[in-house]
Amino acid sequence: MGCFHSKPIKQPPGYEDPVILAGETAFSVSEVEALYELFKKISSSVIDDGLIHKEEFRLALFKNSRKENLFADRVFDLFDVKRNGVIDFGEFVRSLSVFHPTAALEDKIEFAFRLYDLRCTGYIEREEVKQMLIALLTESDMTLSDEVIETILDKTFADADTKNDGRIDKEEWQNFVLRNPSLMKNMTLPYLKDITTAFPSFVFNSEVDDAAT
Amino acid sequence: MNAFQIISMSPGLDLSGLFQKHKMKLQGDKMGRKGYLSLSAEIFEVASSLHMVELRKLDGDTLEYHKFEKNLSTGLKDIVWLTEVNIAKSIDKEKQQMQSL
Repeated sequence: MGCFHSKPIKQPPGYEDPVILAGETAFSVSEVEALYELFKKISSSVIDDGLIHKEEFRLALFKNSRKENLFADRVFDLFDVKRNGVIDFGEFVRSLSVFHPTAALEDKIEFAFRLYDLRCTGYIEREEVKQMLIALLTESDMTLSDEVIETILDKTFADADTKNDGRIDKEEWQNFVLRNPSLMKNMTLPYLKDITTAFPSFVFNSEVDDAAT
Repeated sequence: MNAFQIISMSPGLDLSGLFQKHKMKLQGDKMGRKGYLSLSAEIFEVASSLHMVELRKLDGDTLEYHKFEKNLSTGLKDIVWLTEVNIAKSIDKEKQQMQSL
């Protein structure tokens, strides 16, 4: 006797309960539901499997699924926490939470550090910064002489690498960012505050009473 | 200028693009009074059969822009419900009717 589910509710792969996600992130339940509308759009654009593949991420960002970009690839890899080559809904929401205007600055600083630590060694090495600088110049169709590049690197490291060991560790990065706060501007998306108006998910989609949010 | 300031200019690090759905930039092909007319169009899906298009002038002569808008709404009059001009006109009409009471 008693209540039982006749059939478990079939959720698409990669879906996660908005109430749980709201509890763990800077988003409200309605905001998570709005993000799900965006997620569905992006994750179905090339391969309709409820997961964001790299081409779909590039398509969403550049309107071009074949555009190779070192930085977009790094962002993709960081969003792909489980490192299985795809971004599921949970990873999408948890990663975007770092970009919320109310997210902790420390989380933004840490995300940026891991972004720039290309080889994931726990340090931002001079070679990595050089590689990123050259990538940026190439994608902007600009060239600078090697001499100028080295000068920029020298100046950057003189400023950031206070322990003088040719690489920037987490502590140096944190101090460097606090002295140069404009470096964190990419780490906040003010748009996330208006997400429920941009991607309305209608009342009958809601799993939770409005009163409960 | 430090390396990270330069690096952070990459569009690959600007995730606002993920949210810019259906946004387009259109540019005229003829030189106008103040350069080429360029405008942005953002499309919002209010319901599956109802879309809202927001047009904004980015560059060029304002009068030419208004002319373009008028041509566009005349051309689309069979499928367009309302434009800002229509709304303004109907508000004026109501005001006039109330004043004559």
